[in-house]
Amino acid sequence: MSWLLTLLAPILGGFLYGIERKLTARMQSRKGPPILQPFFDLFKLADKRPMVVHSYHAFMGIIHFVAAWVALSVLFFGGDLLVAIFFHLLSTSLLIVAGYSVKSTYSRLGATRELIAIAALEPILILTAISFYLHTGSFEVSKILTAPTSIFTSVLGFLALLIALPGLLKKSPFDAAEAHQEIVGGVEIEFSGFFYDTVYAAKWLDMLFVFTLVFLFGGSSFVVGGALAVFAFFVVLLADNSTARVRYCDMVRLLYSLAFVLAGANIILGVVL
Amino acid sequence: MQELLLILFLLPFFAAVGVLSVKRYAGIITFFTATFLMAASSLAYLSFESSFTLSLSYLSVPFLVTDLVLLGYFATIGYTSRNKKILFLSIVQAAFLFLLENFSSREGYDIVVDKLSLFMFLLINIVGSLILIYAVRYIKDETSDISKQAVFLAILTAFLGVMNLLVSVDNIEWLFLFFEMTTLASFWLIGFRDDAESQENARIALWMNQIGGVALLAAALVAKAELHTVYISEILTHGGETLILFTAFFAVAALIKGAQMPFSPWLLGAMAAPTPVSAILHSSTMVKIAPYFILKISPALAGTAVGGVIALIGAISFLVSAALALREENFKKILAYSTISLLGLMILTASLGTPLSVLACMLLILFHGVSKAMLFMCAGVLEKKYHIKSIESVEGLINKAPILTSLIILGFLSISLPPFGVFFAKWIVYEGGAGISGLIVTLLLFFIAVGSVALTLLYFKTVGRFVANDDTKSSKEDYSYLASPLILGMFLLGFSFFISPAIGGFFKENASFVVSSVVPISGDFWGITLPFGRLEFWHIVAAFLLLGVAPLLAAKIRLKGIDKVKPYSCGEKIETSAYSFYFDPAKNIEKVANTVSAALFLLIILLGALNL
Repeated sequence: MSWLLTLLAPILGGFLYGIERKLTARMQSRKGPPILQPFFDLFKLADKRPMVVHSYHAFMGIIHFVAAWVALSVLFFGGDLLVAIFFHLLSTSLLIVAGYSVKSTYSRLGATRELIAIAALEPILILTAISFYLHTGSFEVSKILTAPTSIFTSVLGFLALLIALPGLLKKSPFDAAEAHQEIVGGVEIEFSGFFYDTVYAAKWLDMLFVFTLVFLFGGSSFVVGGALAVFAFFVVLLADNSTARVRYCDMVRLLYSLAFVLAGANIILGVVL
Repeated sequence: MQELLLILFLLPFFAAVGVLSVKRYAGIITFFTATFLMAASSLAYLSFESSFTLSLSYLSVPFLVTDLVLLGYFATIGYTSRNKKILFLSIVQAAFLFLLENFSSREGYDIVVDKLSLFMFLLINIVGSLILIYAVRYIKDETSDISKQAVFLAILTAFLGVMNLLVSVDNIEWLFLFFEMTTLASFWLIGFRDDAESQENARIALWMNQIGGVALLAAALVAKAELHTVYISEILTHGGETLILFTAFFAVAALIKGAQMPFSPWLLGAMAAPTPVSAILHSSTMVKIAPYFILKISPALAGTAVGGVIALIGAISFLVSAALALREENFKKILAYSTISLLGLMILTASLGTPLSVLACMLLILFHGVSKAMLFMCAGVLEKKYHIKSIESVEGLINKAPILTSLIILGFLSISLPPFGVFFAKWIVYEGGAGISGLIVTLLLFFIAVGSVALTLLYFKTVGRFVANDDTKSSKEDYSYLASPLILGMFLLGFSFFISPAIGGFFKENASFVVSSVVPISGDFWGITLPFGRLEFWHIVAAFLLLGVAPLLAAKIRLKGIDKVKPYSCGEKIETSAYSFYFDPAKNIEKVANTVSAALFLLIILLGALNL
């Protein structure tokens, strides 16, 4: 099962992204592309004439994709949650390094914003992991999935993660890192053709990663976990379609004053009660 | 064993005399001393069977005289430079010394070499010696005056001897002497360049560390007056009611040596000195006195209010120093702030005193020492060979000096991400910390979570500058300086494969000794198991391939037959450039943190007096 999930991860992620695009379109009263559109994009991109700024930059995109896959597989194999979160950080940092390595203003600005976003999001992920420990007695995903659901005892932690989700997925209102209208995609701008494919697919894996985290709140009850993940998916889409982008420093402020405080309160409650 | 200890204690001093008397061969003597020290410390660790003890009471009087001579020297400095603080503190210290003489003490072992000492020997002698070897080359470019070169090397070499003694003495009066000697070494070395700035910074280092000396003497006074003993091991076992007050004073000395806020200016000022000084004093050796002291008293601190306050001071320094570093563009300053920050984490983990946090602290001590020594040595090369001080001017360096740049990048990765030692420390801290229920520990975990992400931000924005590529043509790199940093880099990379057996063996053994109970961790080649989590071998391999191998391959491989394009610039033809991101936290954050920490220092003493 773990093997199957890990191997199929990019395909699952692609479908998820396809569904997301369809739903976004429906929310905007458009017909929307077919569910398989992400894969069509993928093939079309691969078919284009490849162009690179320099080889190092292009390769770092590939390594970023592999790292995102590894982070996901740590989760799917029931590994330690903190280790998975650190691998997630590792994969993002590789993309940031790639972004900095080209002499492009947009790419470097994007990399910097990506870093600042991490500074707001990472502590929330870590506090989420600690709250899982407090309610299930382990940091290991395999044990969390056999423990009773922790959604009722850590509602605040769930809310915190929900607020952080748009940031993790680079969706409005927290999408300053790749703001298309402003810095034309940030770190992604200098990737093209096949090399953009890798960055594109890595985003699908990231989606799977964060929704798996949400799923963990269900514990042994996969129905609850699934329902929570679907709920979170809708909330994120709704926010994406109905909010305007906030400036990156406001994003840090908002995330700290809302999500971090909630996640912290959740842990303090867990310790006290 | 005895012979090896003799080498570790005395060889540095003989070598220093040799260097001073035969100035022409200063470099060669230093080089051989360094190799001997490395070998001796490793052999001593391997041949260790039981604690080695030695009583040398006949040295007490000569040592007291040395103490007074040293204080007299400090007082003269204070008098001639019209620095009232130095003068006043020297007099206070002398008064304390005379007070101490009024009390008698039982006989005991002055020198006790235990597992913790041997652990520190490894760090001091191996990393320190590599820096010595580097210094031999460096000092030739620093000054052409051969006698000044010899003095520099002699102080550095002798300093290693002082450190070896400092981690081996059990007699607190002697500990004071060596503590003051490290203060003297920092005063000399920071003021080595002899300009107004280094003189001023040297004096700041002097008086701040003298406060630490006073605290240490106060601790000695408490012990001698109440318990009639000067032996730390005895105090810790029979301390009773006064134990807390003793640990409070002892910890204050440690925190000042470890440059915790508000005493951080002395370490930041050390940047004025030649780079080997920063490397040897302020990354791998001198400042490690702080966590070493706290580790020594950590069993007594566990669960006390004093321990909690010490941890809080560490937490504040950890978070605030990391945030303050975000406004700096001077490379050495960034490193110095990050040292203060990580020292805060070490002090925090040591003062919690649980088996897992002590183990995390030891991981941090060793790997931070290795990484920082390497980074500082690289900073020296940047300054001497490429005349670069600011991270804004490193663009394109990756073409000119690929090895140097790779080492710097590796250095930063090794203090933030898996599979390197510092990551494991953080992992253990989170999982171990979550395992202790208690509001204070929870609060500390928040500090750790935000502080480490601030450090990650700092490291990656700096790494971002170093990978920044422009159209500089590659040229042949000058390897003359790189031997020592390369060895440390290889060690960091190679060791990451053996980290799980090392944590299950070496670190577990040493941490178990410190807390005198078995650390609940097990590690073999296939992974590390904590009570609530597990890290698999394939995680380590994956991280190693992703961070250690893949980026290097990416740098080597050149894609053939693929068109190169210029970056997108919105159709504009003008040159654009993006610099790094600087963040100046509101000015009063530093002030508030300093004031709060200063208040917490007083609180430590108060709580100690109230025996809480």
